[in-house]
Amino acid sequence: MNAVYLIVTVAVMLAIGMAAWGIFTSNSLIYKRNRIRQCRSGIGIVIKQRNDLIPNLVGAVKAYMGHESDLLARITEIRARALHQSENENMESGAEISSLLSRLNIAAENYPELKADNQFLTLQHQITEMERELQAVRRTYNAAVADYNNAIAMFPSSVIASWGKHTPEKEIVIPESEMHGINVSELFKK
Amino acid sequence: MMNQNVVDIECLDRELHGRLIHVRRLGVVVRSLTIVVYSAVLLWIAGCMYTAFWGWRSGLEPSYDTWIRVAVIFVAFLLLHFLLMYSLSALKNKEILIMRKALHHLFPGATYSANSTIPRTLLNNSALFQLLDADEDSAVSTGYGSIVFREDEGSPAIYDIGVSSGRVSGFLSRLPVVGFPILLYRSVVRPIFGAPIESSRHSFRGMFGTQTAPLNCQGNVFLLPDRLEEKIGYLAHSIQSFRSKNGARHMVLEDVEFEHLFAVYADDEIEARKILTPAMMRHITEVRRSFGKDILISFSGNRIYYAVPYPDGFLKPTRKSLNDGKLFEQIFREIQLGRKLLSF
Repeated sequence: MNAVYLIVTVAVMLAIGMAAWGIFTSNSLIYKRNRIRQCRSGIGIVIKQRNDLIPNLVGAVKAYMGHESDLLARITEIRARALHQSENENMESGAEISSLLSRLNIAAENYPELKADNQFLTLQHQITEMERELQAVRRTYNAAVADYNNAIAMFPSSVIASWGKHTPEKEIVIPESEMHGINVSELFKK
Repeated sequence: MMNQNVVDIECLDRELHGRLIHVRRLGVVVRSLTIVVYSAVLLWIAGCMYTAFWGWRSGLEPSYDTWIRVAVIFVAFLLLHFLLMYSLSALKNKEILIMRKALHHLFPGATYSANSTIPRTLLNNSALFQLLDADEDSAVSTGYGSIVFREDEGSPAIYDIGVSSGRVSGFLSRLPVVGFPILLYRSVVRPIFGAPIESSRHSFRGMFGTQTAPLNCQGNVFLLPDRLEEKIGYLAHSIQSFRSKNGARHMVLEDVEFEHLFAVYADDEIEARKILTPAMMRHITEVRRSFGKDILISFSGNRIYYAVPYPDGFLKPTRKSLNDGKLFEQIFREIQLGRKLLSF
């Protein structure tokens, strides 16, 4: 009788323990997924703030860098497209604009009058700060995605993840074309 | 520039070699007197407790002869104690003279101060010592020297400090009558077994550096030595994720080598990543490897703080670790590494 009582008690304790663990793990996965959504939203906000500065920047540099019109036109085009894009597309175009803006900064080195322009310097500083914040938020997003994907794939939380229909998220990946070094001489070709 | 400094250091070594030998001999005298005096203190305390217990049990009182013997022993103890204090004072004065000359030679533009006190706000704002088993309200610091560089170099300041906690921390503080044995251990027993007298009561003794930086960090970011990962590998992250330090949560960064050396805690992950860029992490990793010792770093507001433990003291020519004739080269290297860490 005592043995049966002991076995039943242990079984009940195990069941309660596993249920508690299941609840904890499920909540943890939901927290990680929401964290990713929060970071994605944060990226969108910072991209929008940065994109709002672009028309002023283009206006400031156009007078000096008229023959960099291809670069300026590309930036303006992507920015205009970004106004109507989904969150994921916005993140990709945001990365492309970051790349183009860094090329613009390098090109601006060839225009001393532009570098002395206060409006340009202020905008450049603001956009640099936005880019810093953007790289931090992107990295936080990637860390959140890695954490979530690990929790989904690793045993035993993978069991709870499969029941809760949790699917892996994609990290932000810099396109291959943008990972190559910049050809500075190409930037200054007319 | 580097070659010139190496030559200067060799010249400095030769110039101060005689004084260093004299100081080390004086250090041996101080060490011997410390062992004798503090052992006598320990025996005295034990004797008083035994006599009190014996008198209570037997109901007897010590005789007149016993009191005479006690008085003679006490006078001898006072004499030894006086010798110890005199030697300690002489040693300290000689150390200060050597360090002043050496640091003036090594860093001509900097200002060395032997007895500077570090502003309490700096220590509190760094929040580093609240993480070292010291209670926030009761931690006090003692300055053993400082070197402050020029404003055009960013005014980095490097201090040799000791930080004490007035209370026992953590679990021990809940036990009754724990304070006395802990105080006895720190104040009397530790000096007998090698701890410098002035450092024995400190929970931290070593280098503390700080500088203003173009950061504007909202909240705090702490980089602490990651000893747990050395022992249990990637599982350390799982344990550390449950901990928080001063309200800051643990976070994981991308640089593998940096993660191996440091556990990062931050109030805001995004703010922390704005500061700890891949380039910054490589810079800190490189400095940490060059130091070869644990470093604690914190970012708060527009300041960076760091602390490196040196139990024997930092700006002291009688440090135990420096017996190979390269004292000044080592101090120069350590200060340069500190400045390198503060500059980015």
